[in-house]
Amino acid sequence: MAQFTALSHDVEVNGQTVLSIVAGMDTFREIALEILESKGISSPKENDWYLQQSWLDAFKEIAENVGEYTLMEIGRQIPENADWPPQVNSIETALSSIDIAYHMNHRIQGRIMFDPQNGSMLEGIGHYAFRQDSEKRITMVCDNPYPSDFDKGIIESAANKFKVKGDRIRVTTDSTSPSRKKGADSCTYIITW
Amino acid sequence: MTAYLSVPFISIAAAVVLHISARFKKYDPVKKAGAAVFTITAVFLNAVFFSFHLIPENMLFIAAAVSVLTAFIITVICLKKMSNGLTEKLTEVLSDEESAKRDFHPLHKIFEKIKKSHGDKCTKHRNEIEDCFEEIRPALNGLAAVTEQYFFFLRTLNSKIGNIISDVEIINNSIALVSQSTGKTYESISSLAAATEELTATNENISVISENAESITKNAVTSTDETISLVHRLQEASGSIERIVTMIMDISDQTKMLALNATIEAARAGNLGKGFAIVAAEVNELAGQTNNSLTGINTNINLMRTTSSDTVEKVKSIYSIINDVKREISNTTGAIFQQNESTAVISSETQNVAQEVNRISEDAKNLTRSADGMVDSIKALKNVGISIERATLKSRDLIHKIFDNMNKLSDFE
Repeated sequence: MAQFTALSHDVEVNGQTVLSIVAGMDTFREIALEILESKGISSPKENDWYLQQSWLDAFKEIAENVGEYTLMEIGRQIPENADWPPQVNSIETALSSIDIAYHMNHRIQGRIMFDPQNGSMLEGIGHYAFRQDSEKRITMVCDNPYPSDFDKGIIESAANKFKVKGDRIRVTTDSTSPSRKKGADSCTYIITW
Repeated sequence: MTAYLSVPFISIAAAVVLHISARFKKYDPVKKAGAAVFTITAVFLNAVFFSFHLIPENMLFIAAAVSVLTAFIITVICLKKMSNGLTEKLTEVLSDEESAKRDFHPLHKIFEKIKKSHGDKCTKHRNEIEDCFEEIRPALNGLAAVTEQYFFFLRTLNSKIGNIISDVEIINNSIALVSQSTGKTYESISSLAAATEELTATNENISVISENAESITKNAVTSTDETISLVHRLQEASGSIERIVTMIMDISDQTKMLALNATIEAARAGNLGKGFAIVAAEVNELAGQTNNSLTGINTNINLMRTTSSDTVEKVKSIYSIINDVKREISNTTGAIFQQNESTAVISSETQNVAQEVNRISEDAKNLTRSADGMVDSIKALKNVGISIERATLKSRDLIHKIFDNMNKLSDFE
């Protein structure tokens, strides 16, 4: 999935997720709000919905003019500020639930893209694919329009949030797989601890 | 001779020191080589110097030179051999990446030291270091993010400062134009003030003329009043004349009747009455002439009466016109008075405006100077911003390097 381009123009993202940009640039929150406003998101509210393309445009601006660490920091804010269900209590469950959380924070034509009642998931925004390679090694394939470093921040933060004391999380980009930074549709991360 | 003999002893001492020092350095083949060279040189020189008693005294200098040269050649040969050994050793070590990592990695050296000093505690220390890294890593990530944002902020700020500089320069140009315009306005207003002063003077003259005209019309009204009164008196006089004429006409008629009677009586008297008849005829004729004259007078009196009535009407019309003129002049005088007041206010205000414009012109000049200063300050500020921008970029690179090194240290087994 091409970076920074929404697959459909009627995909929306919720305000809580949009506000991660502000949280990730907390020291310069006015600049973050200015960037969002310049892309058509004025004074974002937690419970409102905004066009995904506008949010992606803001990401593009940050990627081009601010930098990768900021993208990563914004990604870190997503798991930090998310409401995790009680069944998520380990690195594995946290990482495997990212895709569900991702779909729950997006809607298409007014429909939230994951229904927790029947577990159905709508297509259109890509995925965070989870694969457990071994006891302490997970591979995540991020096939979505968001920037690579943002996804790395999400993964790292989610894993760290649910690690056991003494675990040392390593998230590395799989250099043998394609990368969105090089124009591919997805990025692959290897998580070890 | 003593000086020459001291050379081999110094060589021996140096060789001993190097041997001892090389014993404590596990990986120092250079010092080992040096010790070997000095040992060989010392032995060789001793052999040369112990054979000095066989050499004639005048040949001692040549013998010493030969011995030093020989020692130098031996040293070179030995060093070459040792360096070959060292190269072989390094090649052996570097051919195995893992062993190279192990032997030369700084963390390995630290761990080796800790192992030597603390034995089994080494692993615990390593874990503590790793835990520190775990804490430092997100902090560094946050620091890098803030640095990036700071860099972006500075770049935005610099861009805005650039805009401010352009705006201030535009303002500066505008102020210069305003200054020029106010200068011209001041000149125009000064001319206007002079013109209004002249206008005030002219108005005062018009006011005097108007007052004179009003006075003249007043006199004209009075004169017309008097004229009307005189004409009325003339009419009254003509009425009196008419009454007298009527009375005379009655007398004349009676005279005619008397003359007729006299003529009748004269005729009755005959010749005696002839003379009387002539007188009576003359009286009758006179009475007729009188009547004719009185008729003419009456006609003239009527004409005079009509004319005087017309005159009264005309004079009344003139009187009305003069009154109109008088009223208009009075209105004009009032308007001129008001105009005078307004002109005085305009004149005073124009002078105030001229002073204010002059002050604005001075302020505009001061503003231009301040704006120039501001542009200089903002340019300096922009340079500071650019410097901080560069520093921030460098900080980000340094943080990146710290990250890389931390990752290398963490990945080291």
